[in-house]
Amino acid sequence: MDTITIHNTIIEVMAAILDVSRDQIGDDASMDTIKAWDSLKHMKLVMTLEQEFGIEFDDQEVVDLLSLRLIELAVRAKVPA
Amino acid sequence: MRDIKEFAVGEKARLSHLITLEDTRRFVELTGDDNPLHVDREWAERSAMKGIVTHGMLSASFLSTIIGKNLPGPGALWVSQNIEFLAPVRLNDKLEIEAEIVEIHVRQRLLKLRCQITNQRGRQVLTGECLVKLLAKPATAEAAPAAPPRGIIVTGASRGIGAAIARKLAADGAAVIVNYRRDAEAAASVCRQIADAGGQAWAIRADITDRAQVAAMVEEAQARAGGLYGLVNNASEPIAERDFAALEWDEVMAEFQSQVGSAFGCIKAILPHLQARKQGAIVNIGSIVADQAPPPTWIPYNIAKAGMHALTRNLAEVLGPGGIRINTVSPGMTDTALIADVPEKVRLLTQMHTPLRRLGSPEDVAGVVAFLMSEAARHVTGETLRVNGGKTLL
Amino acid sequence: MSDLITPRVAAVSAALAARFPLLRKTVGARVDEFGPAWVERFEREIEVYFGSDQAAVERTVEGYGQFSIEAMMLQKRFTKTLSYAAMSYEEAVAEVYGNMDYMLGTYLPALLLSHYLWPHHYRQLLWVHDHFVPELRAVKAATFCDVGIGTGFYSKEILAAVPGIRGWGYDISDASILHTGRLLDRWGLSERYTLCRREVAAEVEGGFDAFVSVELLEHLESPPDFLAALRASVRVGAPGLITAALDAPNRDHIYLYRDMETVAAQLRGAGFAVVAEANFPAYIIQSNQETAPQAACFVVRAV
Repeated sequence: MDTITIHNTIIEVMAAILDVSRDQIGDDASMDTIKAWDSLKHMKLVMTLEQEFGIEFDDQEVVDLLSLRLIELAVRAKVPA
Repeated sequence: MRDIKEFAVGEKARLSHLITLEDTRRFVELTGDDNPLHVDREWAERSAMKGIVTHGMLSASFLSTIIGKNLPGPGALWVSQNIEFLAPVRLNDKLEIEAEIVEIHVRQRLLKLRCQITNQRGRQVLTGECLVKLLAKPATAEAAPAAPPRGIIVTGASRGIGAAIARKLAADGAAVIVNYRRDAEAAASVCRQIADAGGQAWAIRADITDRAQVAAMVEEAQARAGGLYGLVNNASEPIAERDFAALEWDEVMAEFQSQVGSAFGCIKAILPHLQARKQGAIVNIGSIVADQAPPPTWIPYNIAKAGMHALTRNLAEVLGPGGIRINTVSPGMTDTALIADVPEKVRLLTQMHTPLRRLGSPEDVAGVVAFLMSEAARHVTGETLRVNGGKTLL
Repeated sequence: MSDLITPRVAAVSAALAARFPLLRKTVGARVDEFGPAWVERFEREIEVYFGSDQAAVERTVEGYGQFSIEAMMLQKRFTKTLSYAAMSYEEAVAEVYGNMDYMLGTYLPALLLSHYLWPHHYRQLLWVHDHFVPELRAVKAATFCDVGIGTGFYSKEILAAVPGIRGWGYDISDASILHTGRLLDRWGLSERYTLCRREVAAEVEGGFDAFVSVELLEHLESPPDFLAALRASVRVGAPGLITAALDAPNRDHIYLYRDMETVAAQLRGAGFAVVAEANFPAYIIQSNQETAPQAACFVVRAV
């Protein structure tokens, strides 16, 4: 999967789970910048990303997915190019 | 301000003052004492005093003038006063106020004064006695230090944090020695930047693991800067990641020698210059790895940085009595070439775990080093200031 | 939020944010939901238990954070598999209850904080005060037993809410005994309490006037056996508080409860009549693909 598709898919999932518009998810999007992004939403986000991309995050990876950039790095590392 | 020993029994001070209506008006405004005897002509004329009598304390207040300005003057602390009012003072009376030292108690720093006030007819209107303490001279007032020499050596100053420190110290008025080992062009560039900003700097090449080269550097620095004030032990090799299983003790010692041994040697070399003037400041650049769980593949670096922190703690007591301060600045992950190999994920996670949500910049560190080198930190030694955006909060 | 926060609650919030970025919004969310009364209560809890020992607060926050993150990960696995990686009772004793470091350093401190930081635990606490404490006053209960005291939190709440009542706390864990003793000492309630490192028994003549067993059932291989022993220890008509965790895959949860009725049936089978019940989920699930741990709460009477 190419980088742009990964990026767009992540944005879509985040928008749906965090209940924000795509425009509200900037490059610096994180738990700090999106109010609704709390620990509960985080677990839903992680499980939906796993389902969407057919991947699995281990416990430490789950805890580290704190921003859009970190999510992108993690997904790109697991999804075949 | 005179010393207590400069006074003599019999010494006198005098002043004259014409008591006016304006004096009375201001006294009433200040004290609220509007007793009609002092302010109501008709009332006063009908009284037994047959006219306005000015406030007794108005006249007596000029004792304060003599004591505070003349005898003993600055540093006087009025301890006690007795007063006898002998005759009324009228508007437009010209008063002569006099105080004379009758006793001196040197150890208690006390003077006993006899006071009197006479009017223009030579009649005594007031007598009294007081005790006045003469405070000791404030220590700092006369201990203002001469401007310190401005030379500061910064090791490893051709790039990164060292270069930022050099630029900041120069901007604050220091004459900076930009020490480098390999990259003459980079060091020269730092000096040019400093010069363009109106500061003073010289690049001096020295391998600081070599005592002879360090000695030569210090001598040249002293000559160029016209006197040395401080040292920033910043130089650090790039971090070589090694698993413990593959690590040899020689590598650990080499790194220790390179950082702590060099810092030790530079301090020894500059010390005579600082001790001669009984002032100076040293900053050792430590690291967050000495405070938090150190990265397991950085063992030689971690141990060396812990050594830098220990060097500060051990030398603060030794150097302090000679007027020389030594402190540590401990940066967190700072955006320089030293972290070029750190994966982006690690950098992003570090930011997310940092209260200020960003990595440090070399200028962040330089600002704190400059504070510790400055007069503003003149009572700070043996301290570690952490520049890591709050990462070590917990 | 900042206007309402008190210093100790703020310190807990700051410690959580610094150490567990994932949990940094926890305190704020509780304040938004429960308001100043929550803040005041939590502040008092921290003040009495920790005093000025900031290091202990930070260790406890560390324990709470680890415990919470672990719970979230187990819930994620449970959502996918709908089964526990269940232990036997002996394994639970060896790995959890007998592990003093884990109990005192992580498990018990985490539970103490969770009474305030986990919304369903706090709602349960409020419900207990509204529905169970009045029962104690109605029967003029002079004695109660708390079985599976854990942190000692509910014993503390009852001793504080019902002046004069005497309590007996039963637990097989040295750490729980130690922790409860410490907690009650700090609240000045020790004199009315006896700690018993053993199974519950009829220590009081005629049986206890009331009883409490909070989140013990899911830790047992055979809850009905335990409930029978409990029934034998209390007098007829004694009011009791019994709670159990549903859909909660913690490490030492042995018995997997999925619904209220399973618990209620066991209670009735043991000789308790259900007087009031409530279910407090940790969060609202939005689809059948999700699960949420719930606190199943019952006020019962021994019949």
